[in-house]
Amino acid sequence: MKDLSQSELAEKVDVSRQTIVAIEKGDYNPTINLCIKICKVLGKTLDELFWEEEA
Amino acid sequence: MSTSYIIGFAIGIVITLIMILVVMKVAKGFGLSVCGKYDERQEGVKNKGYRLAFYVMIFYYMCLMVVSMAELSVPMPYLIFLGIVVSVLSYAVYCIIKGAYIGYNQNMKKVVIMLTAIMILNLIPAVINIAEGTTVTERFFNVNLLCAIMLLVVIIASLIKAGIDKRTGERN
Repeated sequence: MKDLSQSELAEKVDVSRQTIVAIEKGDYNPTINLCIKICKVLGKTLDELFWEEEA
Repeated sequence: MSTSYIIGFAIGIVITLIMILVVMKVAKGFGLSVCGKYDERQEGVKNKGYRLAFYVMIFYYMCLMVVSMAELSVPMPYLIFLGIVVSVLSYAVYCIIKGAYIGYNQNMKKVVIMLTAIMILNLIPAVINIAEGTTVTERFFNVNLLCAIMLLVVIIASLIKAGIDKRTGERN
């Protein structure tokens, strides 16, 4: 995965840093469009980034 | 309504429009985007903020109605305007706490500087009125003083939020 800070990622996907923080914490569920944007920037698939592995 | 009042009102509107244009020009010169862009989460927060502000205003005016029925000696025009201030403040503080007050393309530091400048501009006539002893009378009230206080609260809330964000940013 690309090594980006929250601010850098936020800037690349046109959102605020607080939004990235909220997504990471699970406080905010992003729309599919934003998910795709983040995946493209990080070079990952939706599954790799957002699919929770069952314990 | 007297002619001088109408002329004064019209001149006030023209001066306000000129001031807005000047502030926009100066802000652009400082590299500050006047039109904020908001992401999807921020738009949602702003919607909730508007709703909160609406309910705060309704609650405030209901309380004010009770006060007016009690026929207390209170400066009514001042209290009516205060309702708008309280409502706007509740929206602003809610959005600041949730990180949706300024757009993702705006810089908090520059916004705070601009708000401080506007607050100082409001303080000048407010101080003059206080010196003249006409801050609150039965028919006249000092709008500038309320605006300056409102901006001060917004600035303090923004600074506190910026401090918290910086700390959480360092942790991450």
